[in-house]
Amino acid sequence: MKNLFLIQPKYNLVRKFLLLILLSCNCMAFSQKKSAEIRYRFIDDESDKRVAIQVFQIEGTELKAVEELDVLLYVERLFTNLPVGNLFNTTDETGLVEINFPSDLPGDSIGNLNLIIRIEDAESIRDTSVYAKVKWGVPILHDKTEEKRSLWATRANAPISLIILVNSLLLVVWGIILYICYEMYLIRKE
Amino acid sequence: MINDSKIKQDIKSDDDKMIDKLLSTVKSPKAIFKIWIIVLLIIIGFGCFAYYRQLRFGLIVTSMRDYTSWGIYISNFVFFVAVSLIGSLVSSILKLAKVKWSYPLTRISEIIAVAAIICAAIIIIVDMGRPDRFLNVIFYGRIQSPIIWDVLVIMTYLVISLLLLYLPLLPDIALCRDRLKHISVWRKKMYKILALNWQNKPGQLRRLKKTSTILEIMVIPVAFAIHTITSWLFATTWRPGWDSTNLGPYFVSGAFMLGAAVIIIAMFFVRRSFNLQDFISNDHFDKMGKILVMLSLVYLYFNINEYLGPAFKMVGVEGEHITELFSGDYATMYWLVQIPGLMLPILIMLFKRGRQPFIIMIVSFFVLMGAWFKRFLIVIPSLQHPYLPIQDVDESYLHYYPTWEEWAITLASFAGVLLIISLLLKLFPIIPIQEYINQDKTNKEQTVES
Repeated sequence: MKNLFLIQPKYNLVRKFLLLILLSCNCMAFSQKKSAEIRYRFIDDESDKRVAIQVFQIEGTELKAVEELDVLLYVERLFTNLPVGNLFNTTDETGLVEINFPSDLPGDSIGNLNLIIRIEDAESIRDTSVYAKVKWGVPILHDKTEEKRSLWATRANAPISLIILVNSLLLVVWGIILYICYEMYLIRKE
Repeated sequence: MINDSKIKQDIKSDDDKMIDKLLSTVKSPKAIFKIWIIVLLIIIGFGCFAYYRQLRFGLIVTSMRDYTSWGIYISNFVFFVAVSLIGSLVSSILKLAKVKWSYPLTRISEIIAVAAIICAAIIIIVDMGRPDRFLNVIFYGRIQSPIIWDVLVIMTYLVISLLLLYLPLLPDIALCRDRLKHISVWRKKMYKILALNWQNKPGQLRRLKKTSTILEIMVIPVAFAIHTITSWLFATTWRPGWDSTNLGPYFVSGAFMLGAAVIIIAMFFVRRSFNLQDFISNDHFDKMGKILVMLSLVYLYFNINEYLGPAFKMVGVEGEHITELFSGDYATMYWLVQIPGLMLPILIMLFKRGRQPFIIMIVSFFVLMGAWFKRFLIVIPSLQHPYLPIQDVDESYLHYYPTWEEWAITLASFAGVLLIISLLLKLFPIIPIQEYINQDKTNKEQTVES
């Protein structure tokens, strides 16, 4: 019974915590992955558009082209990133890969697209992302008709007649309610 | 001259007796009343536990799914909104029409209206998956949406119903303050605060008459609006059974019928529990019965309108919906609602014997049950026939059987209405004393003059 009230340190938890720290230190120390430099260029021929990506590995002060590396190219969309190119876009012996780019992607109002070039889960290179902007999208202009005041428009574009009608009704009815409350006050003061 | 003053003295002593008798309903509650309140609190407690589970695990504890997204909560909400219209029927329409026999019923109807509209407002919040976001409806709501109109009109109707109950109560609360001696301190304080320093002064009487008349007039369009807008929640949604221009008057007429039935049931039990046979007579039941027959006939007329057109054409999903009601899964409920819930009551109440207190109470109970299930039939079968069916839907989407949590919460809402009604009936005089005495005095003076 007395043991129930003893506060005993939870050695098991402490042991697990120490082990976790040790493991993460080891990962850092023995990691073979090196940082990479990604260079890119936008090629716009009349017939097609391509993104040329070249990947270098930084070894000391030198840059060495990385071959046989899968590079991912994404276009930022509203909820997620859209992958562009083939399933595998692999670099050649010069570390270069060219990815064909579709010409019908909707962009912002002036056609800008936000791109992400990414290296993920590579054997010798750390995960790296590079962000770029290119004016290759189809400019999307807001349809002015959608901004018209209507029953199906947004809250800010409610029909004026409806706003006036609803508010007038509320004003009249609540005005009378307030008047009655004032009369109740006068009844009390009488 | 001597005779005249003697008559006046007699009238005064009669008034005192009458006041004491009418105030007797407000005295300390009996054991049976306390037991009744405890039973209601237990049901409400059980409902709160079910609601706790709904908050904890989400709306998944209900049977509501992608098809039937409005279940018995919404049908119950429509039912309570309908019941709340009784306040405007008796305390306003009959009063403005100077129907004198209805005066003893005004307080009961106003109390029922307040209790029903409070619980209607609560049940709509219960239906929300995220009640903590309720205020977003007010802050970010689109004025184009009928749901926002409904929220606005419910709040307005609640305030008007409270005022309509409270203002005519002022002279009676003052009587409680002045005449009730052996009551608890908190009740004395409450009557003192609520009486608003009422002294029967001419100025106070004038203001009370003016404000009461304004309220009685104003409540009629607001009452029509509340139920018409509730019907628009359905009519503006494109579903079979709801796509109808008839829906507004159909809902309003159904609400008046239900309200009249509810007041008859309330009259029966109030008269019995508080010994008010002298004030709520058999004649009241007879007259309310006639009103109920008239309102039921109007509702029957709208029912025929509502179903005849689509049933004659039997087009597409609308036809499927009608078939489901007439001979499908919901046929038993549909015909029970139409025959014992509407047609038989009309037939029974057409005869004088059918308007006897006990019989009409039972008949009204059938009308009430029919009205509740009618709301179920309006809401649920329509939702199970969407115009854009989902492919490979889960089996649970196709049927709707409320879970115990939904039933518990619904029962708790009924218990909530009964609790509010019981407490208000016990705290305030049931028969409007001042009005009753004035009416009585006028009658006696007319008799003396003649």
